Amino acid sequence: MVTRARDPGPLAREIEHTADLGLEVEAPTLGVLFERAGLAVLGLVVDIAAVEPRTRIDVGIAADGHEALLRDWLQALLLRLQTDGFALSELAVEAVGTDRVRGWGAGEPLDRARHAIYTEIKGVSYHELAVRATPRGWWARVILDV
Amino acid sequence: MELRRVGEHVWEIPRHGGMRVPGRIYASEKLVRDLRDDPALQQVANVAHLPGIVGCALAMPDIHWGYGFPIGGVAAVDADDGAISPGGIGFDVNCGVRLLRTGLDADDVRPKLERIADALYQAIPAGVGSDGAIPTLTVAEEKQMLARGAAWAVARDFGRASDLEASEEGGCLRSADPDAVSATALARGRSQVGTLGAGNHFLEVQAVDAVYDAKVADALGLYAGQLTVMIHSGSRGLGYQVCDDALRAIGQAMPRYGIAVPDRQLACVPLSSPEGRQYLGAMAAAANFAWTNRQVMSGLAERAFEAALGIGPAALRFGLVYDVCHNIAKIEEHVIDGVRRRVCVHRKGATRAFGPGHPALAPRLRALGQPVIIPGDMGRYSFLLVGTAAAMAETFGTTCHGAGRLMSRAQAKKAGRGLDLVAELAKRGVIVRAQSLRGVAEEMPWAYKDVADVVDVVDGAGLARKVARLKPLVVIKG
Repeated sequence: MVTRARDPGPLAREIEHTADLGLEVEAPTLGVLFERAGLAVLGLVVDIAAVEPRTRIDVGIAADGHEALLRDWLQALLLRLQTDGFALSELAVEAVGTDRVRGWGAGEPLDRARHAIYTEIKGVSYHELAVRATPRGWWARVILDV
Repeated sequence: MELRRVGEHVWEIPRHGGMRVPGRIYASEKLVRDLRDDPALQQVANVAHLPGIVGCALAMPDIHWGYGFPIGGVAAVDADDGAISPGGIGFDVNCGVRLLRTGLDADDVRPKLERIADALYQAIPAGVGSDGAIPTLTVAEEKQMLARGAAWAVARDFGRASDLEASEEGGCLRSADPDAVSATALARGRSQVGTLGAGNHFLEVQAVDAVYDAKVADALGLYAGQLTVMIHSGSRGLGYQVCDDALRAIGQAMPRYGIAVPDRQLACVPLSSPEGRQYLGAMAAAANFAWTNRQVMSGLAERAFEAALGIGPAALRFGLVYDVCHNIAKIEEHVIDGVRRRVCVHRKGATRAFGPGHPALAPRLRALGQPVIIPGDMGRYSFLLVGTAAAMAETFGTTCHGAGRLMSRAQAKKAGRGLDLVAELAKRGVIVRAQSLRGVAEEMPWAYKDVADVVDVVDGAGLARKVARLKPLVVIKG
């Protein structure tokens, strides 16, 4: 499946957290959870709806457990955006297990003239990080350090 | 959590469980009332579990929840057999503040503030999507910068050599080991030298609106009505990555040293261990990045003022009053229970405040005590203080660092919904230029405690002495 910035409906819900930003994400599958969480985090930094999916890049992460995988996946996407200046507006997870996630993203180089910048996120914290299976699919909570 | 009052401004968490020392919190009754149910108190007790901790696990009056250590937390561990905890320094290594003076009176410049705001906003890159002030560095150049700190920027005409002695450590920790910094951290820092960043970071043009100690203010080149500039920023993505890398490595190594701590974000290893030494070298390099970053932005601000006002350096008389670190660990000597000891002082959201006569201060500052800069929110005021002998005796020469948040970012945004935030600040006489209105909403004055409440506690407790108050006129936000 592919999740797109312009898909209708919210990707995640912002939650209260004193110093930083928290997000809760729900999805029918673990793969879509990673896609929605990824776009939700990128969407806090830049208006991803204005980003054209011109170029595809591969994203692959290995880590121990769903929480660490999600955290490193989000951190990798943020690095692409904030360090390499490449913004994504589509994400697709092709395979995800307990120690590996593999997929691709589509987007274009960041262009301040066309892409509104909202904020900068320093990183994704381990604090209260959670990924759980629910009767309706999957749920995750991440706290972002801003 | 049991909290026992042991002085007018001092409260103690008695030793219990695995705590090696008591916790001690500096606060007024009002601040303690707000703290009673705050998880930050438990974090003070957790810090007291650190191997080698001496004295007390301390918290300043701006204490609030942080990752592992509370913000406003201070812990000194024995330099020989204590442990280093990256969580006790924080992700933004050497996040700090500097205060610069000008030779201008605020009243004379007031009609030109809009022009100055525009020039500063253009000159100071914020971060995401903006080009840095310095072309992207090569790895070799970046490592040189990490080894040299603020002097690297001075050599490239950002500020002047005299700025270096007005900086903690002269703007450089010589223990920096650029080779201990990961490739990812280097990549994150390469294009960020001279960038402000987002969150609570800012550049402000201010006016000195109250002077409490005219003698010290005069010695620091400050007077009522003077135009000043304050910059709050840190080590950007590079510092974050250094902390992130260390938490991972130290978390894995900790069981090998038989260390157990109550929170994984307090992960620590012996200072003398390979992992401990690697982190200290990388942290010092990140600290040097932060000093370079603030030094470059000072130079950019100076040029922006000159261009906006059509004046030269002789008329502007830009110069650094002082530059302090908020998030850092340093090896220092302190007298503990009557014995002089070498300790590693972790300060996370806390400011060094060495008293008069301390040899670490530049000769021209030695009689005064170390200048301490305490920023407030962007609608009210900030403070300049000086360190005291009492801080040396009680808190390892440490005082508070800021106001502390009152509302979450989500709450602050909700409170600002429907309001023209820029107009709200204009009513308070503050001109704002910001990359993101959302960022402005999260940083509105109502989201923060009144910094005067915090400063009054440290002044009352004798941990620092008030010198002057500074009112914002222009705020530049990332």
